Amino acid sequence: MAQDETYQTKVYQEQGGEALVFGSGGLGRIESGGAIIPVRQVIGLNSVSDAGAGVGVLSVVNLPFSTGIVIFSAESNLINGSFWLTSVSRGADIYLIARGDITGTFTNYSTIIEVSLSGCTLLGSEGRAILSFEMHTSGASDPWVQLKCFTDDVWSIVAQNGDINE
Amino acid sequence: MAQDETYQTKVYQERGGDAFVFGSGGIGRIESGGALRSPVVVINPSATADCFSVVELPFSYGTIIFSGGTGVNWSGSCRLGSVSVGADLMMIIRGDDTGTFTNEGAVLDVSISGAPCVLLLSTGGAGSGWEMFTSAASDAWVHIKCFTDGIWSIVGTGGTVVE
Repeated sequence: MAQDETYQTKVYQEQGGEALVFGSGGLGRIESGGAIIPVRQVIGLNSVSDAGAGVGVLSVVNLPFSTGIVIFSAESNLINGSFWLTSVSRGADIYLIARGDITGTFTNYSTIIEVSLSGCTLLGSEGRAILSFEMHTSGASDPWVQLKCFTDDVWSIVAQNGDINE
Repeated sequence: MAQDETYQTKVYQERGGDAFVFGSGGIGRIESGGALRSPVVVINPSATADCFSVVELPFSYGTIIFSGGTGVNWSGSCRLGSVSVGADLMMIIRGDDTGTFTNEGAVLDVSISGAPCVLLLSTGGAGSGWEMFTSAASDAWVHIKCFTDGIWSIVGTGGTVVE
C-alpha cells in the first residue's frame, strides 16, 4: 500500500527543523521528573556561584536574549547597572532579577539596575506606557520583574516583586 | 545484533503523534535565542462597534487580547468554557498598543454563566466572573490557569479588575 503523504501528526517538526510545532489538539506533556528549562544568564557572574564578579558598575548593554532568566548580581556592596530592552517579537518572556546575593542576606543591598528602552514600547504594570524602571536591592529584599511580549515590539510588565520604581 | 525494542528515550513523540512527552529525567532545554511560543489572538482589533460578545474563547492556552477601534469605548462580554489540566491563559483588555489609552473607558465582563466549569478567584473562593476596565491610567489583564479538570483559577491580575 502506498504511503499516505497527507498524514499529519498534531506534533511535528517544521520543515527545516527550526521549530517543533504543537498544532491544534497537540500536547507537550511533562511527566513527573521531566522539565522544560529556560536559558539563564548571570550578569556579573562569579566562577563559583551566582554571586557576581567584583565589578563596580555594569555598562549599558542590551539584554542577551528575550526568553529566559537574566540575573544581575555582583560581589561588591555597590553595583549599579543599566540595561536596554530592545525590539522584541511576540512570545518573548523574560524574568529580570537584581540580586544582592543568593543567600537572602543582602550583602550588597544597594544595587540598582536601571532598565530603559531602545526601539520598543514598554507598558508598565498598570498598562501605561513608561520609558524605564529601576530595580533596587535593599536590606529587606531582592526585586524581580517578569516581562512578556504580546504584540511585536511592545514589552509588558506582567509581574514584579520587591522594590521596583516605574 | 537484534534491535533493543525496550529502549526508550526520556524525550519522545507519543505513538500517533498527538503528544510530545518529557518523561522522568527528560528535559526540554531552551537555549539562548530559542523560545516556546503560545498562540495570541486579538479580538475586535479594528471594529468600530461599541459592544460585542464572545460566546466561547478560541482556545485555553495562550493569550487573548480584547481591543477596540481607536477612540471607541466599547463594552464586551465573554464566557469561560470547559477546561483541562494544563490550560494557561492570559486575558488582556487593552485601550491601545501605545499605552496612551485613546479608548480609556472599555470594559469586558467575563463570566462562567451556564458553562461547565468552576472559577476560583484570586482569593481562592469560587466566583461567577469578573470585570476588566481600561482607564486613563491602566490596561487590565487576568492570568488564569487550570490545575484540576473543569476548574479555572485566577493566578494573577493587573490594572482594574473587579472580581
